[in-house]
Formats: sequence, C-alpha cells, structure tokens
Amino acid sequence: MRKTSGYTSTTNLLCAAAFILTTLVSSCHKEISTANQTGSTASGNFSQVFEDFWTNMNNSYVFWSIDTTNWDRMHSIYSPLFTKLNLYDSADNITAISYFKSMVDGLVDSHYTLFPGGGIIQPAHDRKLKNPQFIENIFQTAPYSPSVDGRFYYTDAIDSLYLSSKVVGIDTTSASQNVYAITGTISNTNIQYFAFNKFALVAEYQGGSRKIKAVLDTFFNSLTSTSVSGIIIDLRGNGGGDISDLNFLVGRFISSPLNIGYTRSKNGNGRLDYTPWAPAIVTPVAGSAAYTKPIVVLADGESVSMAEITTMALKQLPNTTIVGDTTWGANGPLTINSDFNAGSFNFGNVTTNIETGATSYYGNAYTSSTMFKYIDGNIYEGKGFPPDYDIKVALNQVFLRNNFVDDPQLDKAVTLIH
Amino acid sequence: MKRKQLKQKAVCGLIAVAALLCSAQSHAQFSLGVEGGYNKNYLITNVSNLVSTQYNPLPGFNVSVPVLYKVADWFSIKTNPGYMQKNYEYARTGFYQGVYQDNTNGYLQLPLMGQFSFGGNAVRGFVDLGGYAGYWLSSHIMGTMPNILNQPAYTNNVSNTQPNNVFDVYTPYNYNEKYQYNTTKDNRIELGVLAGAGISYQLNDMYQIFGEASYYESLTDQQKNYETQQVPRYNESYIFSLGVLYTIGHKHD
Repeated sequence: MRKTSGYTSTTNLLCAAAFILTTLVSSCHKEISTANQTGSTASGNFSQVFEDFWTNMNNSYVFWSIDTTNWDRMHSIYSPLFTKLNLYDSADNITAISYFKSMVDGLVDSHYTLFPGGGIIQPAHDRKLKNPQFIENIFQTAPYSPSVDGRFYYTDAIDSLYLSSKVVGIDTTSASQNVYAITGTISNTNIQYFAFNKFALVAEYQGGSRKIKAVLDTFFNSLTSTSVSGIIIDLRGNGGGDISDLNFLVGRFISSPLNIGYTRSKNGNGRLDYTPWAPAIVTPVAGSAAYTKPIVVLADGESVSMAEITTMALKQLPNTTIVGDTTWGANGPLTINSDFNAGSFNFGNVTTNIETGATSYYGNAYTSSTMFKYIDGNIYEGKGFPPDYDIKVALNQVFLRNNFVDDPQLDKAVTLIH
Repeated sequence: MKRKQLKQKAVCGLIAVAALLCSAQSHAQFSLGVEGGYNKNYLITNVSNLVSTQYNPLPGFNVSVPVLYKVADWFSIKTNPGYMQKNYEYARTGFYQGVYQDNTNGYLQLPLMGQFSFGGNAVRGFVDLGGYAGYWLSSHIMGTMPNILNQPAYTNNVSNTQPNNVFDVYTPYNYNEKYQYNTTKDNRIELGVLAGAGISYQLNDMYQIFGEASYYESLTDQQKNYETQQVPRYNESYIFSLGVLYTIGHKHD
C-alpha cells in the first residue's frame, strides 16, 4: 500500500514534468526579426526613413568596434523625434537633416558622407574645421590641379621656381576627369619630383591622357636612372581614388610582396560581426627592383584615403621619410555594399516608378566597406597618419604673400635628400 | 519577453525533474556509460537582408557520459554531461559563390532529462525530455573571403572581360584560425531544451546498449544583448548517437 502510494505521488510529479517539458518543446517557436535590406523599406513617413537609416547603419557600418558613437542611444533619442516630422514638409526636412547631422557627428569613419533629403553632411570635415591644429587648404586642391576658382596657383607660382624641367599632364576629358600629374627635377639638384591630384593612374596609363602617361613614364624611368639622387612624391591635397594604383605605383619600389597592414569587414548583421583580418599586400610590378635611394613623401591634412594608404605603404620602406602634416584619417577602402555586406547604402525607399521600376531614395550614406589596420597594429581611421617631420603649412599659405613663394614642406624634403 | 517566459518555463521544468530525483525510492538503480554520435547543427537567424548570403548546417560529433538514475521501470532521471560540436557555415551564393566561413564550435553540456521507457525486458523503447546548460568552450573558423587590399599584380594588359565571380575582382584570402571571442558580443552560456527517442537492448544484467535520435534547441541567443533590434541566433542540433550503459546499482524489492 505504501509502495503504491509512493508510485502514485511520483506518477503525478512525472505527469507534471512531462506536461511542462512537452509544453516547452512544443512552444519553442522563436520569432526572429527581419532586418531591412539596404534601402528596401518603402518609406511613407519620416519614422520609416529613420528606421531604415538606423538599421542600415547598424548593419553596414564597419567601424563600430572603434567608434565611440552610442548608436543605441541615437535610436532612443531620435526615433520619437522623427515620428513628429512630416516627410513632405520642407521645413520638417530641414529639421530632419539637423537630426541626421547630430546622429552622425561623431562617427570615426572619415570617408563618411551622408546625403539626406538633398542635404550633405561630412562629419570628418566638420571636425577638421573645429580643430585649431588643422590648416585647411582653402583652394581644396592638390599642388598641380586647379583651385576652386579655376586657377593653377601652385603650378603658376611654384613649378617655375622649384622645377628645372618638367612634364605636365592634364586630363579633363576621360571618365576619371580632372586628373593632373607632373614630374620634373628640382632646380639645382638631381632630385626627381612627382605629384598628381588623384589616384586614377592605371586608368590614365592604360587608356586616358597620353600626356599623363608621358608624365608617368618619365617618373618611372627616373627610378632606374643613375643620375637621380632621390625622389619626392607629393601627395598633399590628394583626395585618393582607385585601389589598383597601389600596386601600379608602390609596386615599382619593391621586389617582393610588402605587407602593409590588414583589413576586415562584416559577415553578419550584428554591429560586431567581423571577418578575420586579411593581410594587406602590395605586389611588385614584374621586373621591378627594390628602390634604395631616399624617398620623401609629402603629405598633409588633405591627403585622403589612397593618398594615405600609399603614404603608409611607402613608409614601410626603410629609405622613406614623411614630411608635412598628419593626413586626413580616412583609411578604410570602399566598394559596393554587396561585395562585403558592408559600406555605402541607400535608405528610405520613398517612391518606386511603377512603369520603370526605378526607386527613389530619401538619402544615401557613403561609407567604407572595410576597416584598415596598419602594420604597426594601429588603426589610423579618424586620426590620420603622422609625418616624420611635422611642418604645418597649407598650400594656399605658401604662395599668396605678394607672389613670394616659400614651401617649407618641399624645402625640407629637398634638404633631406640633397 | 516571450523568450523570458520560455526561460522561466525551462527552469520550472528542471526544478520538477530535480524534485523527482529527490523523491526517488530506495529501489532505484544507477547506470553509467559512454555515448557518442553524429549531429547536424543549424544556426537559426535571419540574414534575408544580406545579398546572396545564407547559413548552412554542418555536421559535428558529440561524446558524453550518460548517467541514469532509475526511479521506476518506466522512468529514469538521466544526465549526460559531455562535449558536443555545434557547427554551421556562413556562405554566399551567386556572384559571391566561394565566399564562406565554416564555424566549428565546441560546447561543454550538462543535460538533465526524464527518460520514459516502455517495452519488454530485453528490447525497450524510450523517450527523453529535458533541458540542458552549455558552455561555448571553443571556436575555430575556416573560410575564404575577398581581400580588398591584395590586388593582383599590375600588368600592362587591359582586360575588358566582365567578371563572373567575386574572385575575378578580388584575390581570395583563405584563413584557418582560432576564433577570437568578443566579450561584448559573444554569449558563451547556452540554455535550452531537448527531446529524444531511442531503443535499448539489455545484453545481460550489467550491460545495455542503445541508440537514440535527439533534438537540442537553444533558448538563449548566441549573442549577448548588446544592441537594439538585435537579430538573435540560436543553435538547433539533430543528434544520432550510440552508447552503452553499465548498471552499478541494483533495485531492492
């Protein structure tokens, strides 16, 4: 009897346990939210535009591991504010742009440019202007390219004084428009000088301006010339460009692959879903030899992106010295979002044309697809790469004083080689 | 909120099973053994927003030491501490075919379950229901990804060929390395429920062999709750295992 009673109570417990466990297993239906595809959410109001932007930033921005922006806080602050705005009210659109600006103001990505509702927001540029150490080149130009007013200040004033002979190439017609390049010998020296305003060198060399190809051939020939004592590569004001130029240019100074750092991107929706670090390698051009003569790279606060990566790559060579100012700090290579599931995206699918299927977006974010870590283990995104010789002067400051030309950065470069 | 309720239910279930253990009668007996098998693990998440991207299940193995405490002829309390792989693959398709990452994850697990058995003296069927706690012990990643800063060597040849695959554009980077845990993101504690069914054969008074198919479902996200609108990730494992049990205590009638 006692035994039966014991089994009865045990059976009751068993039934209870079995019921609970069966309920558990049968009720384990998980609800997993759907993240938006880039720009895929049809947006009829500002709340949807905001959510689309916030989510795509969350998924596609590659610098969350080093960025100090509290993106969750941005959601909690701005989500209720955007719900009060009318997407079709121009005054509200201006308010929305100011909200977007506040959200992205601290992003470390120095390529980052946001185009919301007809506006443009460049957090890195805004930060530069607030930094008293930063000297802006008001002409927004590389040495041998026209300034915003169309004049070739540097070319007109300096090359005649610094260069005893020169070859100049200008291409304003090709797909990579407004490419300028110059090479020549620094007066009274055997130093070869080379400058260009953007990285479109392969495109120019293989199918662009014959004059720019002539500049490049002259410079490349000087690398093997016994009469040349050293070279100056002027990347000041160079806004960057095509990655393929890295091997094309730096690959002529090395005879074996050069590891300059690492890149990584995203492999999931989470902010911290990263790929491993992949080695960043410069591959030599076939037949090239290690360049052993002095190299001076001129860089400044407006040497951006590929101009910075090229500076850092050349710095890996034992005979390279960097002169000028700390670079801009936009090191993360860019490509289309789908290649790495990271980087630039559209947001706010405002309208879709029924006949053509063409989609209009409220905005677009231009941002890096990968994060770059230099070979020394540091990530210079948002900081810029420092020079060996810090000489702070902007290009516009060297030739405007009654046409008196004095370029202390170039002077230092010449001194280091001559 | 729903997951929180599920966790509470799981805890209640485990407490109920533990209560059974405490109320066991003097006629109970212990069995101890070894078990091993093959499993297939699915990472349950949502990457539908990512272009040509999916997660695929991968096979793994599991080894464990089953311990049974027989309460009645038809019911035992069972635990099965051991090691279990929960592997999965991140893969891209279409133009991005060839980009992948195999994740080999090792978990230490402590399941606790009730085993309901039925049938004759020699051949018996059984059903397991319970829960488990696991610790994400190790992780290894192997894969291939495009390397944006390792361009092919420059040549003067101009190629106008349209790329058919991502690796016509980028150099592939192959890697095979230990995964570096991120303390902000990775949740290394896993709690879940399990269900299984199998058949056993009593070889003699001491030894019993068995085979079992079971299902483990994590109720906890593989990630800590570190971001708003986080897309969760759960392991779901289908396990086929064989084992042998040795009886070390005898029922006293």
